[in-house]
Amino acid sequence: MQEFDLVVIGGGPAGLAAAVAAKEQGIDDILILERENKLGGILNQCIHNGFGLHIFKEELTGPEYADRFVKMIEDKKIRYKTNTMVIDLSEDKLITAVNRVDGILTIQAKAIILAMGCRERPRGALNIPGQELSYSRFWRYRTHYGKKNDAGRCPCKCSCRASALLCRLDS
Amino acid sequence: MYDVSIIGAGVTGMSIARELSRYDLKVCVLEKEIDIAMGTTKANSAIVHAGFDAKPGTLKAKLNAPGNSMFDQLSKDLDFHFRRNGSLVLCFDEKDLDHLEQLLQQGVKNGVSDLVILDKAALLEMEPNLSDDVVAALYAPTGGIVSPYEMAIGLAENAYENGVEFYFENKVLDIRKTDTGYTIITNKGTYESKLVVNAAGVHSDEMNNFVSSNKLEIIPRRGEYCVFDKEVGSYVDKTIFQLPTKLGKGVLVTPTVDGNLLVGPNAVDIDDKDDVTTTRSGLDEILSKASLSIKQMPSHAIIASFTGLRARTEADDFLIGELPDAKGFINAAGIESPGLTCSPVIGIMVKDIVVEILKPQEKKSFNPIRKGVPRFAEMSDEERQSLIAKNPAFGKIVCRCETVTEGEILSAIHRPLGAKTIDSIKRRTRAGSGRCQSGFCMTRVLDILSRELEIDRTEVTKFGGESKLLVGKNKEDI
Repeated sequence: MQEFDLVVIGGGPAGLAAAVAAKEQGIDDILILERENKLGGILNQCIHNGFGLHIFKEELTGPEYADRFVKMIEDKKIRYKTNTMVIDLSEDKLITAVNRVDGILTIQAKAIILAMGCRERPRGALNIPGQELSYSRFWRYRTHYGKKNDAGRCPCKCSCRASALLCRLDS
Repeated sequence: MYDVSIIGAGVTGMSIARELSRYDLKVCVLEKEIDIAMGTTKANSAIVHAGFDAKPGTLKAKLNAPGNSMFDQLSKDLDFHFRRNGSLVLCFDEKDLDHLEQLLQQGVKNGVSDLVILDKAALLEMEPNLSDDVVAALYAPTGGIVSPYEMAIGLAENAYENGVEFYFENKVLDIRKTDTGYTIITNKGTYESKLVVNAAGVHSDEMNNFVSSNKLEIIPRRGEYCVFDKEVGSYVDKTIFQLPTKLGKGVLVTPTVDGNLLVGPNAVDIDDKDDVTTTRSGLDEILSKASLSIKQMPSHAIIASFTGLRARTEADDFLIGELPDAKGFINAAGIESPGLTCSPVIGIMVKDIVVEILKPQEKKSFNPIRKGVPRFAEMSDEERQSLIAKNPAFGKIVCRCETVTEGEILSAIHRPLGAKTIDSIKRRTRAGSGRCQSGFCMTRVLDILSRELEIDRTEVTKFGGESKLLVGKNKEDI
């Protein structure tokens, strides 16, 4: 079992900023646990620009912005483990995590920061009725949208029902 | 030349295939889809019924209790999830107590054991989240829950290991009588067989009608369901039915064997055997009807909805047996509820018919045991550690909602009758079944499938056919 003063669960924008701030406040013994193969979290898929105007006084994309924080993490010698997912957390701050290299890891922390972000709710959670489509069929329906025939249906035979459904959703 | 060809790889066909694999017979399965359990088997209430429901004298009534009693051994042998959680039929009106008693008597006639009527106090002690409007209920401790596709896949893998051949994406287009048996023509080829077993689910009428003048009609009956997050998976412990009244049959609320909560189904006759859309009115109907049974419907926790089709016939009973006007053609048709529960016995019934006709030898080499995909989520940390030490892929979690590792996905792909699609992975491992409904792991499962099957990413499908997920590279046409 390993021991750390502070374990940050989640290496996205919140977790990285929290780890940096904790280090600046004098906490040395920090570990960040990230289940992706690199730090940055949701920023890595936010490829548009507009990040960093306040903190870095320049315009960055999500991955560039994350990279600035990753450099800070490296400079401050804050430890982190990627590809590592926390699978259990006890009230007395015992963390169980798993990765390919260490197998099952147990880590005792004095303090834990939860920075795991959130999960989007899928279509099913909204309980929208309809037919299960794979994404490319969905795409094809979209391209047909607007070409309804008199019956209110799509001219493409395979997509009749779903196209009508989408038309309804769009209208 | 096959001895027996089974049409349809649902739980009925797979029960039959496994029973036949005990014998020295050349058996094949013809399935129009890309995997096992892709029709009625994958979308139903997943209940192992106690057996009080069916009218005494019918096959449904006769096969239910014996089928139910086979699940303990079968789930052990084939390593699928089954739990005897018990079921309750709720009565909301003192005036209906007679009906509850009649249901109990019917159950006794059908050979169901340990049935008892519980009063309100006993009920609420057993299930604190039941509605306060409940008056009494019939309690059937033998009722159970199962994963129907896991069961069908288990049966199929075991049948395959014992010599049964499988041909997927083979849609039967015609069946012709020959001197020695039948010629089955599919979109992929021609199969000669001495006997044919029709386990084609909602399409079993078409198979029957190829060879018999005694025409059959399956009327697909749609049932819609809502699946709830595991957060509320133990809101009830028993399977909660409603006593049928003048207002209709009622809908059920049940935990699933995987730990979700399931609500449904309604019953709407339709004419399209491929129509598995869910409808606003249907989902509203099941949620509002099910609300009568429990204190509060946890609607915030719905993660998915689905539609299943029941293979209903006018006869309102299973049609099992050799056709009088087409010798050697054996129907296992019209298998609707409680077909899942009865499927192990249907397997034996059809096997008996085949054995009577062909008189084959029993195989000494038959192995009844099948091991399923390891389940990381259900292991102790010690078991996990030793598994990862042997294979690091079990240390990589791909589906985060259900804690499914890459090792499990690899096992699903490389086992007998392995997974070729995203949905096949889901039904073998639960990757994508959780609260994010594959929003996160689908692309990663796609990558693994592409890598392991050595196909381009654009060739990976969700459930076979044209259900491709990727159509090309971004901006490649520009």
